[in-house]
Amino acid sequence: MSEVENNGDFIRWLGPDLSIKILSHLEDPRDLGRVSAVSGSWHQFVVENGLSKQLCLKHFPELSTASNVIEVDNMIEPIRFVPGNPMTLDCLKRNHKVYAFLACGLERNMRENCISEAIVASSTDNYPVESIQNTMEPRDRTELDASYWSSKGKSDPSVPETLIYKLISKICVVEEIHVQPFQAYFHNGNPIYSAKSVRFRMGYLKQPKQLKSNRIAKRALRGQDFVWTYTSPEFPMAQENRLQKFKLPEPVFCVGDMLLVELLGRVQKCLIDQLYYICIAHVQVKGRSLCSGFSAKIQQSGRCFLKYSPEADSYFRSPGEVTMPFTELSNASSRLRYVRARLR
Amino acid sequence: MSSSVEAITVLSSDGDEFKITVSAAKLSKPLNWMLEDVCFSDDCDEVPTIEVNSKTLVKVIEYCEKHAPRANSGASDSDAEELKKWDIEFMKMDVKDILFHILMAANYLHMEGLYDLACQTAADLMKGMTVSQIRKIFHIKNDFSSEEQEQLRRQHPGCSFD
Repeated sequence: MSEVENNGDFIRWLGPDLSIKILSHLEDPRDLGRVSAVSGSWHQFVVENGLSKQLCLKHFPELSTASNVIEVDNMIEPIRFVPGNPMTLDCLKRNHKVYAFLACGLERNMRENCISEAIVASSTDNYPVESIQNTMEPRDRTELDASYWSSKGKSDPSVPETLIYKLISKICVVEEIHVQPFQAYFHNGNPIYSAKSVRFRMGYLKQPKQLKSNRIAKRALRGQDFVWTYTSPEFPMAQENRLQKFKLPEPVFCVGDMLLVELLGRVQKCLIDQLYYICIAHVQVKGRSLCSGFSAKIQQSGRCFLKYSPEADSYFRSPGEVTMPFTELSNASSRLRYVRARLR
Repeated sequence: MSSSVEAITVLSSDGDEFKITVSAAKLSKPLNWMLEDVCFSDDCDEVPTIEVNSKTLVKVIEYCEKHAPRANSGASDSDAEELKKWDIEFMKMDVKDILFHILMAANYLHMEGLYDLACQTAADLMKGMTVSQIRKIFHIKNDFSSEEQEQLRRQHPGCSFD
């Protein structure tokens, strides 16, 4: 007992129950991470008892619904977990890695909007005046003009439309998606061009490529270049001019940074041409994203590798330092995004 | 057991005698059972032994005596606040070198409050510490190869190791 007298290796002396109790009093995943790096036996103890997972789920209970995504293979892979298989040590090791990463890497605070870019719409009536880019603006009009996206007109009200957005990180936990239909205040009778219902999919591009131009993005959409890892139920949409909140049945651990908004069915005819249109003023995604410095790479198979680059992590920089100097940014659009982010 | 008895005598594992008031002893379930089972009147010479060493038992009894009035009557919020401050001082000043003995004793004596307090104190010793600092505190040898160490660094983003 002499080692206990001067605060020795408590995991060895106290046994698993008391040691787990002590370690479960650690709140910060970084503390638990350091504990697991103290020695081989301490590492084994943290891994075998799944303490990183416990702590991660304590901070992010919504991840418990994503366990079948996380617990399988190399880092994160969207494959069904085979029930009845005992947890092997390898599996526990992977779990430890993934949950230790996520516990540190996911943002503590829920973001009001996880969308970083509007990519493409299945059709646009009047481009670029009625472009999907306008749905990034929360208001339905700016100082200059009305701000909304409009589909092309169709005589058949059942023709659907889709909007594609990019999320701010390749791993997000999404809770709600908000959509505001557009009320054409400049048309007679102020019609609201909502859809009948809406459905959401999340996923990634099979081949990572830049969806720079509208044409490339449209081709990608038609050519089924996307893998959708999540499809929501269909939500009825009200023909009302307000930000309509669609809460997903459970928070979605989204692998991939692509969001597809499917607008199913048209309800409003334009009196001028007697065609059905859908118009959307604003879309936003409420959830958590990865913290700065953390990123993920998704392979074609759906395997997801988590990465961390400390040089990009503002957490370790002094508050006076600029987090991302302009010289590090390669192209104009990311520079612009950076500026926007700084302005917010 | 006679109701007139206010304090009982117990033996530590080292064989030293300690007095503990009945109300304080009630904080521990096993001690409470002892009170019910053992005869504590003057003409009874049986002294129960508690499997905790003297150094630790002194502190456990001190904790019990301090907490007993509140546990038995339900005190005001200001008392609770004062007690919390006392707990922090109690852990800081007195028991650092026998923390794990206190923790084991609290577990053995089923004293939830003291058990939680000791676990929290032990966890606090590690909070915000680097890996090498934690090794120093608990006298643990680093048995990782430099390769394994590098791997761990990658696995635990944002944890300062040195």
